[in-house]
Amino acid sequence: MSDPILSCSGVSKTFEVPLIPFGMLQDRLLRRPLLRERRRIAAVRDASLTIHSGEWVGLYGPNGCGKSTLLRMLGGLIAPDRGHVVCNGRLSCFDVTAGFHPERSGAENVHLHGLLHGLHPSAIPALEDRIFADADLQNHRNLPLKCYSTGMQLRLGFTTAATVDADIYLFDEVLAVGDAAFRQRCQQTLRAMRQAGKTALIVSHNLPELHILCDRVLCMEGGRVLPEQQYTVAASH
Amino acid sequence: MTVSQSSFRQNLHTVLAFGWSDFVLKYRGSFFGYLWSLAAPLVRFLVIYYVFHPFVGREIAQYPLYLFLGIILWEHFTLTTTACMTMLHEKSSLIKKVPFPRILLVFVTGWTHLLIFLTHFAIFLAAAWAFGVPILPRLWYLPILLLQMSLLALGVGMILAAYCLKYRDIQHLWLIVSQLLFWLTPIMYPYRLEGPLWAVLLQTLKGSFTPTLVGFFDVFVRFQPLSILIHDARRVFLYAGTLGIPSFTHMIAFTALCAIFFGLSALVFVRRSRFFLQEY
Repeated sequence: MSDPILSCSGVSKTFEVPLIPFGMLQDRLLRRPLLRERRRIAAVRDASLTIHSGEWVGLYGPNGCGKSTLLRMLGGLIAPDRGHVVCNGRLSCFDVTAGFHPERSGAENVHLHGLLHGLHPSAIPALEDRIFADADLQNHRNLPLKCYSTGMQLRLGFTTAATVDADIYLFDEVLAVGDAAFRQRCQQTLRAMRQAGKTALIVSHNLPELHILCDRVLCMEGGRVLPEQQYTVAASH
Repeated sequence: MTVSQSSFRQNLHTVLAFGWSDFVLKYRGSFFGYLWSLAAPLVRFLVIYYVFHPFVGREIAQYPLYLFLGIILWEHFTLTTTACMTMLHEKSSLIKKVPFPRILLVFVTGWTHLLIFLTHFAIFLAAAWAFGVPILPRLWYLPILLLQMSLLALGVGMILAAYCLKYRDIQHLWLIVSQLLFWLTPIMYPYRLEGPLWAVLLQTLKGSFTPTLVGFFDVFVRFQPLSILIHDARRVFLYAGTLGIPSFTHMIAFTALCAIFFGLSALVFVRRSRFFLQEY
């Protein structure tokens, strides 16, 4: 098998929050003993995974099991407390809402995101044409994003995410948003990307769809990535 | 379509495009548009001129220009430092979802406010021309001034931004500190320095400092970086004939100090920026 394109080993992340939120000075002074009581939430514990080039991996688990935190650490958005992440390629870590600004036009948003993803400015106009054609939003290109319907915004976000050229794509819950038509469109695009030999890690609640799209599906529970064998046995029951 | 390597040129493109887009977006949809950015310094100028002119107008030559230059430099400093904090909230959706060096957002803020300052400075140039002050031969100093003021404002802004998500009081505190700083900066009153800055500083440290509140304020007003920055700009643009321009050594030393401060602030900001996402 080829060298791993993205891997992490022993990655852990713990968030520490006060048991009672202290926002004000008077609380800090008068209720000081309670301030020491803090809750530690181990979002991800000792997680390790390896993704090879051309591989499609699904990450499945219940709410709060640490999927998104792990994805954010893999994408470089959060630094892990322990362990390390190694990425040997260009990464596209896009959420379908993609952090677009509602006051900027669709074209401006795509242009600025292209720049942030390291695209050369001369390559962006062609990318914009392709994205607006694929998303079927040519007529809305110069309208502020706030004038787009929710479905249109999702279409633009997803098409941007899928069109940016990268070695590995990290998708968070792309299969859970939008209407049936949008989800079908997403699946078609993802299948086309898979056939084109791209690599991806998809986080989702939708296990059947993950099984259809991915080569293997990993399961997370209580912040841990379950061993694949154990998960296969659990899933078969 | 190719993804280029993260490089200086790529980051520069990103900062310039984002900064210009923010500049345009700032006034989009408002009737008066860019004119709003003139309103604050203009109103401030008119009020201060009306109040202070009878007291210091005769003592300070070209007082309207003296005051206006001080105000626009101050406005740049205070708007940039505040914007460094607010950008973390305004661009939270980007910070939460797109991986890129967060320090680029600081440079974007710097570029947007530099554009605003340049338009203010163009008005200062027009006013100087109307008052018969020859500034065009001294425009060589403008890049040095822009560099020094950007390093200083972004340096302070980065320190504030690095901790403002963790300690939410910082934003409120900075409003009060900047009000205090406004009065402790020689914007509307005269600034005196008997001799070269470093010589006066050494002399003060050796013993002429009076350990009283007034003495402390006096030392602070004379030696705080904004006072020096504004004084240097006035010497070059308004009083080159009478006070003389700052020496080359002074310019280099002051720029180096600003750069060192900026570098240390950038280190703090980069280190802290890894935790921004969990501090929202």
